[in-house]
Amino acid sequence: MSSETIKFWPIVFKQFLFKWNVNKDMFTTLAILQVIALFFSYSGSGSFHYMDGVEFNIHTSDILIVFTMIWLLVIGVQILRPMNALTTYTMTANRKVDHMSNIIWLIVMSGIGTVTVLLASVLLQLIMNYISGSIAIMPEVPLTFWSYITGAVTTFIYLVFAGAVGYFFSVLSQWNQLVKIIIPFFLIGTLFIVPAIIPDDLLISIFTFIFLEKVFMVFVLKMFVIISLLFAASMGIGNRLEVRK
Amino acid sequence: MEIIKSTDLVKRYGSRLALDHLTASILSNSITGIVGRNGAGKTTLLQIIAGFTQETSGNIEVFSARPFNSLHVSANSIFIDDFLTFPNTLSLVDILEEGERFYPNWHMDLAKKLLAYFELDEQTVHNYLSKGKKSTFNAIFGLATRSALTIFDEPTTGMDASVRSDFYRALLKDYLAHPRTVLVSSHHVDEIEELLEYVLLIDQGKTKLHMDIDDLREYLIGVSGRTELLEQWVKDRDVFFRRRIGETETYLVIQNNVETKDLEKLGFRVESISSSDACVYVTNKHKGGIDDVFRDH
Repeated sequence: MSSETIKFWPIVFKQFLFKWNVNKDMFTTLAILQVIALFFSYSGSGSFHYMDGVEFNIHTSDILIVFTMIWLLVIGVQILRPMNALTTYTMTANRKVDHMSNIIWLIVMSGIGTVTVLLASVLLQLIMNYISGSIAIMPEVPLTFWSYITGAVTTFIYLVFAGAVGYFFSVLSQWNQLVKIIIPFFLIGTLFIVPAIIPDDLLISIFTFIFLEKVFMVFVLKMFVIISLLFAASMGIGNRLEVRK
Repeated sequence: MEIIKSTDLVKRYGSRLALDHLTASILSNSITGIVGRNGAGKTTLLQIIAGFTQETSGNIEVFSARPFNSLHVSANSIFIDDFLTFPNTLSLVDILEEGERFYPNWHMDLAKKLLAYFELDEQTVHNYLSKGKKSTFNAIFGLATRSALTIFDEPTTGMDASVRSDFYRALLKDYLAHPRTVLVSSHHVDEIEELLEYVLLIDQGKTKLHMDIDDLREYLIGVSGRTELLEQWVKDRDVFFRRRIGETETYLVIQNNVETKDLEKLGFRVESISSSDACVYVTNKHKGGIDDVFRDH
């Protein structure tokens, strides 16, 4: 039988579909996490008492976003598990195809995550209005269409970021098994050591620079660069790895 | 046409040399048995050919390309071994359907018929199958791809005798109908010798023999006769195996480059050596075999 020549993108698309089919059970995990997040949100992320026995609770969908970010972090890590890798290469693939299809899959999953977060936050409002018996006080300025869009895009970017971080650490730990041990130490270590070395102001300004950018487009641009760097680094490190050892 | 060409191929795992300057080439549309003892380097060679593992040095070409990380090689080859697993979220028939999307020569009809013949339930999950059934399914997957290069690394692990012979027969029939390059590694040469055209015998990471299976069947002969006469006669020859028979006689295995008639004139008895025994004798490190270990006790 003669050999067939093969094109890159059609194979990436096939691998994406394959990963989509194989990892459908991830949606169950997402649903469970978001239900838990709804419970937490229900009790409110902050509350204060006002005189005359009136209690105010602040309800936001922050917890929903954080839980969905955790979900993306986890699926970013697990997509490279040996079991997934083995079947990927039993079908047609090379490293580039594998990474590209994984990244597209993570971005699509982030998109789905965003939609579910938005829907769940609507659900949260409904619960607050109808079940808890309290009166919802909406923001004084009604939300415009644009602010809904920026909210959705911001959520989406946070989710892709979480996925990219998970994926990057997964590639790192495949590159060297020691990373699995080092990362927890590193993370705990940074909690104590980094604040000791780097002044608080600098830490806060780094955090603010990345996550709390006020101008929306600048935020999008910054995160785009950071996420691209994470994915590029993953591809760079992962490209030399052997499938089986 | 040579489909695989390796020259001075070296693979090192830490301090262990898995492949030691291995040179070999495989013709297209042929079935070659990759044979050798445990740890000879069979799996390493096959994984390098499939592009899963990177060579340390030397040169390897598959379809005129370096296989490691090559999409071209991956698209045209399939590597089946008993470590192969499939996701729990897909049933057997789902896996076959995924395979159909990736492999242009995929033969779904054959795959489904084989599933039915080997009594594999289409709706089961791969992980729930027994070891032998897993191997059977993997082998079916490998057959159905009809890849230009089909690699089976110890495909029959866990299969019972009848399934093993059925599988090899299925492989042979499908190969005759749709010729492709097949590499099969196995410990049991006698089981696959009906199937093979060529044998590549690997020993300690090197090519020991690479020949037509018919030539291998005649490569060695066993000679027995009176010890002093036989030892005198065999002085300048390579002896692959030596065993004393009783007090006065000896049995030797030597290369088959003498006339049987000459030997019989000297009063020696000559017998043929099967291809699987030939592989054992050629790679034997201790000329006396396991008996030597117990000699002084």
